Amino acid sequence: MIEPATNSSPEASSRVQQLLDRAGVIVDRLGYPVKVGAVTGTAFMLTACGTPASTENSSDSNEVPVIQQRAGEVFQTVTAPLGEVKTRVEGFIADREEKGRAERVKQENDELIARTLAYQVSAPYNPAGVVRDDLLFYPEKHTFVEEQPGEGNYRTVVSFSKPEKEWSRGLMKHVSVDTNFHTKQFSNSTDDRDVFLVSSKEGVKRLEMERSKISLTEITLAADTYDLPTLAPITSRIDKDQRYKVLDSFLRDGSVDDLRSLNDDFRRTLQYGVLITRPDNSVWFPDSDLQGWNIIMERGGMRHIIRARISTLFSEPYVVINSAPVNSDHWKKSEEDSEVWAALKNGDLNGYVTKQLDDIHKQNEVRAGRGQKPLPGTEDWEKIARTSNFTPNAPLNPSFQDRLNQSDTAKQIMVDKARAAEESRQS
Amino acid sequence: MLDLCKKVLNKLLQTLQRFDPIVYLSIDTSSFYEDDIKALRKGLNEKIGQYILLKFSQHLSEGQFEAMSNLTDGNEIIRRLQQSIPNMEDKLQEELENFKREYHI
Repeated sequence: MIEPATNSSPEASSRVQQLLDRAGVIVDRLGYPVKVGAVTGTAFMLTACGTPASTENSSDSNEVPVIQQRAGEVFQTVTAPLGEVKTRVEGFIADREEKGRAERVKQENDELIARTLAYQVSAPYNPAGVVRDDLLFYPEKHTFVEEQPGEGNYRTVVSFSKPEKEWSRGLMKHVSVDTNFHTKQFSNSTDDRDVFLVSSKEGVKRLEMERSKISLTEITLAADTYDLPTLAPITSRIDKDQRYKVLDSFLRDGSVDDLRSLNDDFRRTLQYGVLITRPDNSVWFPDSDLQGWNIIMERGGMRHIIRARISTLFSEPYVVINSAPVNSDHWKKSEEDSEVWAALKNGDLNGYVTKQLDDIHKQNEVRAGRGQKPLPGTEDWEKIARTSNFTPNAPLNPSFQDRLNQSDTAKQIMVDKARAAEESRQS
Repeated sequence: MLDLCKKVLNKLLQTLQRFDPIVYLSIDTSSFYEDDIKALRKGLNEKIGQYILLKFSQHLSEGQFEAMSNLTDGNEIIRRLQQSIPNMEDKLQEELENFKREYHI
């Protein structure tokens, strides 16, 4: 904002601001590539004040242009896989948050994100026979949008939450699937014009109107863009080919009962101490509040933890996938996740559950002091701690049993892979 | 880094005092008070400076840019830019024209 002039009128100041905003838009349009840094030891960076990224030279439809600099070399424009760029951006931001002095880094991150990611992302993909090449990153909203007919009309496709609006804990970064109607839940910003609140009657009406616009393709887009594992394990009854249809159905039909049923599945799964491992060697276990899954997977030599969440908290169904690349350093810095990983490697969740319960009890003591009710899920955790020995020997329904039959082998593969990766890193 | 940009461009603009963005962009300020005009001129200068520096940064390494930020003499900054950017004056004029064209779209 300009400084208010002492000898001026509000109208004139407003006009001046408009003229300056117009100039600002031209500058913003140039874009500031972001300095990503060496997340995994490979020199690979986008510079915060370097060459504006351009899509003109990208010959591979799955790649985007970035600015690369190796030690001692000048910046050069190269292309990199879109997924890798995103991973590194997320990792970089997480890294900065870890290292930084909170306020300063937060400001820098805000600026980096808001000002430096304003480059056009050429992201064609073909997950469902549909080629898309028109995604734009909208930095002010941390959102990938697609252009709609009509000037200046964009529609949110995938949105990152702002770093300071941590919905989950630790290093998690948020990717919301088709965020048109729930991103607002995770943002306190009042200027998000592309999203709207669904916790009001008006919001629900809007949701009803928008549901018709939510398509299978869009959900596929979100998942495939981020190279997430199949969402199928969220339900025990979806095969690979049908995985998105169920999500689509949730979003279209808002079948809250289905979601509650799934949550029941989660609870039962945890009660029986199930670590679900999948053919792709990802490991799934329920989230601490029993409303989602923690998924540990390896892609491109990096461990990722992904939090898939289905909740009825806001009375409307939504599906959120949180994803953050987790290299070994990140992992070690997060005490809780480190314990989770250790539990996974040991194939034993007892310690994890004990700690969760301790944490919950501590939080409940604080809440009681404030006159608040215990945290939701407390009783579940207590029951789990009382009754579960995390040996999958209790009678299960057939779908669980099927998965358990695979579990030990796949889990061992995961442990072996983790050990090999660790040894590789140490050597 | 953005601070660095601002630092450099402020020095650059100090040297380009005769450049008046209001005149250059043909903005009608007849209804403005003098204070508004000053604020507009200052703001436009900053935006145009950012625009040009971003364009020029394609030709500069981070080290060059940082070294430039330690200079206090705007003329010296221009001299360094001239060293790093062939036909800098022509490119400066070209980018000013680009900005003007975009501004009037």
